[in-house]
Amino acid sequence: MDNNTIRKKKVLLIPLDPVHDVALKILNRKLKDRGHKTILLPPDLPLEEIISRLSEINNLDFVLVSRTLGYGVAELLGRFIDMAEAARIRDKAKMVLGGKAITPQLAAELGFDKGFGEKTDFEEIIAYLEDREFLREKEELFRKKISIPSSHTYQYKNNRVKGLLNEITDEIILWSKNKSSPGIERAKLRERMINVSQDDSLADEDKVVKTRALKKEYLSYCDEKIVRFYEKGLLPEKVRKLSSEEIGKLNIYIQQQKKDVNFKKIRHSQSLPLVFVQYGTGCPIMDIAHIKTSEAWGADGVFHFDPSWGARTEGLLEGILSHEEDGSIISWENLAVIKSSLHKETIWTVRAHRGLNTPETAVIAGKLGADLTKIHMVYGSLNGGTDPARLTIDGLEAIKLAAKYNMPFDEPTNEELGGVPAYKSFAGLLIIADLALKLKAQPILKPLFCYSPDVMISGKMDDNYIDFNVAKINSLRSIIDAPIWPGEPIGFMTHSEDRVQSSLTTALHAAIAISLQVDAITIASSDEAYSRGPISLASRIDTLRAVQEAFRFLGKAEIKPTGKAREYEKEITKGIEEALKKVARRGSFVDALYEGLLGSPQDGAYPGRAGRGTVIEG
Amino acid sequence: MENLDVFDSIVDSLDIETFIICHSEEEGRRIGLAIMEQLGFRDADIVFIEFLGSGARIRIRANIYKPGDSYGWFDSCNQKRDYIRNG
Repeated sequence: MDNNTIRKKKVLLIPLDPVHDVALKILNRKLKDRGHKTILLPPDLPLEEIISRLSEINNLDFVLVSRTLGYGVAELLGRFIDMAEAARIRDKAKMVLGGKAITPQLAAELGFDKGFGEKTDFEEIIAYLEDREFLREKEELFRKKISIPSSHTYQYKNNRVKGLLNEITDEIILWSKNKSSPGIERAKLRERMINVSQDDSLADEDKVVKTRALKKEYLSYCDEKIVRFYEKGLLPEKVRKLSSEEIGKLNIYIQQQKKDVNFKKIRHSQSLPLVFVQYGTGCPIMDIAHIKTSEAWGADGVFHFDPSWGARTEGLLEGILSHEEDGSIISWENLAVIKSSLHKETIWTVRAHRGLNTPETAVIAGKLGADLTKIHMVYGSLNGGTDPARLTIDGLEAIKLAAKYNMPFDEPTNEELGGVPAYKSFAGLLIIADLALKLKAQPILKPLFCYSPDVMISGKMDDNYIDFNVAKINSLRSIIDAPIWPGEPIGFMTHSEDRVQSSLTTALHAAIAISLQVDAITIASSDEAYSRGPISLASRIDTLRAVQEAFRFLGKAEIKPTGKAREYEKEITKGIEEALKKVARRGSFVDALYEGLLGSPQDGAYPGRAGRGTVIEG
Repeated sequence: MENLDVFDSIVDSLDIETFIICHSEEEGRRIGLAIMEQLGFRDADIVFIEFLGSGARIRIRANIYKPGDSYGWFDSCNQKRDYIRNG
C-alpha cells in the first residue's frame, strides 16, 4: 500500500519500563518518518499521571505500552487497563502491549487489543497500526528470483579489447563449422529421448520402442563404464541406487521441508550481491538437507557440484544415485528430484562446464528448468582435464543450448588457482563471454576472490586481500558492462580448518563484494579447508551467518582500497590486451590453448587429455 | 525420550570444541581422539587443532551419518518430532 494513501494516526507511546525504552524510541522515529503523529512519554511515569495525560489528548488512535515482563508486572499492566477503562480511554483508542516475554495471548488476557513479543519486526507493528496486512519478510519481499544479467547491457567500454575479441571469436565459430563430438551427439540424443518421454501424443509402447532405439545409439557414444551400467546394471564403484523405499521417503521429506519455512534475510540494506552455495555431498538426500537449510539461512541460490570422474567419462548414468565421495552424480533423475525440492524463488544452477558431458548436462539442466548453468572451455581444458579441441566444440554447443533454454551461464576462472595470472585467465574469460554474446547467450563473468599462487609469488596481497580483488573487478568493469559474480568460493585459499577464521575470511570477502556491488558471490562452508571428510551442515550455517553479519556491518558503506588497487587494475587490463593480441596473432584459439597462450605449464596450466582425438570432422 | 536414539536426530556429525591441557599438538590429538572414543564415537576426526601455551584449542568431529548412509533422521523425522513433543 502506498504510504500516501494511508490515514495518518495519532499514537501515544508509553515506556512503562524504567530503563528499556529503546524499542519505543525506534518505533517513534519510524512512525514519524511515515507521517504519523506521535507522543512519546518519558519512562517510568506513575500510572495515575499517564492516565491523566491520556485523558487530555484528543483523537488518539493507539496507545502503545512497552514493558518487560517480570515479577508483578502482569498486575501492573492489568491495573493500567482497568484505569484506562475507567477513564473511558479504551473507548477511543486501541491498547497495544509490547516487550520482552510478552505474547499475543498474554496481552489479550490482560485486556490489550494486541500484543507483540520482543522479536517482533517493527514493520509488523507499523502494519498493524496502519491497518494493513504485514508481509512477513519471507519470499514476498526478499526471496525473489532475479535474472542476474538483466541489469547489464553487455556494451564494451574498451574498443581495443572488443576488436581483438571479435577477431578471436570469429575464428572459433569458423573453426567449429562441420565439427561434432560424442558429447554433442549424445546431447542431441538425450534431447530426443526427453522429448519422446514428454510427448503426450505417443502411446506408452511407442515411447518404449523409440527410447530403446535412441538409447542404443546413445550407448555407441559412451565409455565402457556407462555401457556396462545400461546393459548389465553394473554401477561404478562407490555408487548405489537409492531404494524405492528411500525414494518414497525422500518425496515425503521434500514435502515436509517445503512447509512453514521462515527465511532469514541475508542482506541488510542492499539488494546485491546474491549469495550462492554449492551442494554436492554425493547423496541427493543429504544434498536436499543442505539445500533446504541453506535456503532457510538466506542463500539465494544453489549450484550442483558433480564428481570429477563424471567429467572424464563419456556418457551419463540414469536413476536416483548416491555416491560415497564428493560430488553428486548428474543424472536426469537426480537433478529432477533435487529440482523438486527447491523453493520457487531459489536460483538453481547446474554446472556443465569442464568435462566430456558438457552439452548433455546443458540439455538436462535446460529441460529441467535450471536458471543458470556454468560453461568455461578455457578453465575446463587447462585445469579441468579435458582436451582443448574437444571442449571448445562441446562448449560451443553447450553455449548454444544455454541460449536455447534461456539459461545465463557463469564462467569460472579457476585456472587462477593452478597459478595462471589473473590477466591471462581474464583474457580467456572474455573470449568465451564474447563468443556467448555472438551466440545470443548471456555470460556471467566469474573472477576469483582468492589468494592465488600468482599473487603469493608476486606479493600483490602481502599487505591486504582488498586491493588486488578490487583491481580485478574494476578491470573487468572497465572493459565491458557484464554481470560479475566472484567465486568460487570467495576467499579461496584464505580458509583454514579453524571455523572461526574460515567463517570470518568468507565474511570479509563478502564485505568486499557488497562494497563493490557485484551481482553475486559463491560462499564456502566453514569446512572449506577440511578435506578429510564431508562438509557438515552446521558449517554451511556458520558462513551464511557470518556473511549476514558482514552485510549488516557494512550496509551501504564502502571498503576503501589503497592506491595500489588502481595500479593493479591498469596492470591487469594491459595484461589482458597483451594476452588477447597473442591469441589473435596465433590465429587459432584451440592452438592457443594447446600452446599455453592463456595459461602455460610454467603458469600451472596443462592442456587436458580426456576426449583427445574425439572431435568428429565433417 | 528414553526410547529415542537422540543421535538419530543429528543430520551428519557432532563437533566438540574445547581446550585441552597438553604438552604438544600430537598429545592434544591423542587426547582428542581418546575423548571421542570414551564418549562412544567410533568414527571421529580432528577437524582443527592449534597448540599454543598450555594446551590446544581443538575441534573434534564424530561422524554420525556420512553421505550415502541410511540416515536415522530421514527415516522417520516427522514421527520422531511428534514423539519428542509427546514424550
